[in-house]
Amino acid sequence: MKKLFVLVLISFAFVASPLKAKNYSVNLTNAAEHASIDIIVRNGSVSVVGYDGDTVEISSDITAAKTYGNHSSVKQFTLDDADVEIKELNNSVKIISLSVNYVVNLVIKVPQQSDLEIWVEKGGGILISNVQGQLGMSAGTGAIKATDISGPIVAETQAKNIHVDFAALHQNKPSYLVSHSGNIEIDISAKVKSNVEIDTLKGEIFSGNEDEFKKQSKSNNSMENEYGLLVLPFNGGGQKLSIHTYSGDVYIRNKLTK
Amino acid sequence: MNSQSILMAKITYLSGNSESDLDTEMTSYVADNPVLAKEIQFVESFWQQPSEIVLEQPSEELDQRFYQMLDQAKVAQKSLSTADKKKQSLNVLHWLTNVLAPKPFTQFASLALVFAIGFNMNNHQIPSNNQSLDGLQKQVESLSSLVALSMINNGSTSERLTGVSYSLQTNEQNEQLNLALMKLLNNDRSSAVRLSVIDALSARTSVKAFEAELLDSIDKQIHPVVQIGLIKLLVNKGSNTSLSKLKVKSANNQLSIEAREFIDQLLAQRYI
Repeated sequence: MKKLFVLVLISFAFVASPLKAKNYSVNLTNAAEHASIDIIVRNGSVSVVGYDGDTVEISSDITAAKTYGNHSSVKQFTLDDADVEIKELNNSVKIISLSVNYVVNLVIKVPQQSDLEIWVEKGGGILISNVQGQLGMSAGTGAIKATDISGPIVAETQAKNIHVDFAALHQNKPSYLVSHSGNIEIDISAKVKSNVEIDTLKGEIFSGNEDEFKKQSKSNNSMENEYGLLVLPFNGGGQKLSIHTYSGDVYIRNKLTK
Repeated sequence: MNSQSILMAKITYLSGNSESDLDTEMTSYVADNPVLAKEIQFVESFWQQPSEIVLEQPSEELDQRFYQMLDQAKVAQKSLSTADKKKQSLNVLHWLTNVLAPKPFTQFASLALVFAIGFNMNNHQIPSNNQSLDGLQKQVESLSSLVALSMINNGSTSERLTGVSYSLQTNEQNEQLNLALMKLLNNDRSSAVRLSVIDALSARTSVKAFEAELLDSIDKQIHPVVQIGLIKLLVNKGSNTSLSKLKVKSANNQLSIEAREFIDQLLAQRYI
């Protein structure tokens, strides 16, 4: 009984406690220029917060992705490298974790104007806050939540939700949000000029804007009319914000302007 | 630093939005990159074109000619009226005809004739203005194609998406750009970029040149939303042959469940 208790404790320790928890600080080659940060995580999650500093601060937390059988009397040989690889060259920072057997959760502080490319294959998804650069991200099986951003943003999930709270909308470059069956929710100021274009086959649309959606197609093709894009011009229209789902619902909420 | 950022820095400088030209590092980067050097050279030559199109102005004698013709028309009209008056004195019937004659219509017709002649004389130079505008439009299209291509080949998802958006302002026949768009459609890691290519192709008047490639592309798509986007595009703009091939693909289970369901729905609604 005592042996079993010890075994349970060891197993619990492998599951719950971090194998490695490390902090890294990356100096940029030119702190005056904005940084491009590429993050690839095969199994885990990424949280990024923009701040006033000029270094990239990374905290990694690595835990085993699965529980093992009785291995108290044997040595573990692993081919799966749980380390996080970090490189910087001319303000381009690459943070890569290709581990599958370990869950790698990253919390990263970046200069506010940084451009981000984030690719998470499976796990807990992506959280972004207060970053004003270009954002490209795919969360695989996880969800995406971005707050206080101005885009342009390109975001993609499979079955989990995408929630974007826009502080403003970049007027020179388009944004695109795609989910197969996850809901897409945007909070946007009623003062923002935009053309919100929605394409959903089985999803429902909920909008807090008083303007009516219009079919983009003006042709006589009834198939194009039925399955074409719906367009909602905010304040007379502006930069394109495309939303595309298969069965996920779409929520557009007007933010109260300060 | 990359080709795109250097190109943008050059355009910013040339357009007067920046006081500094390319720095030493950028210049050496350009020197090592012949394709970029060619693009820079094109952009410079584009900006060295006269900043304003010199439109050929109408002749200075236009007004003089117009009033001269107007006077002639008035004189002719007066002589017509005098002749009418003489005839009027001859018999009551002619007098009645003159009273009932629609003088305002005659005056209007004369003035319209004079206006039409003057307008035609003034506008015989329009073709040359149109040629200048066509030339400028071609140069703008060419520049847009370069910017679009440069952005499409960029590493960032947002830049690629913007590049696809730029492609809407270019000549649809640009083979290099069309090739780049098809490459994105088949290989880009972002479904959003692939869908934006489909959106861009949907805005075109025809996709005849791509039909076979679009059909093949359906098999290369992992995400059902992209497959469905391609099906919509082919049903809207494709030929009957493509629709038949789509039905075969669906019947042979070559498509995702969602795409097959969509085709069944279109068949039930008789859209295919």
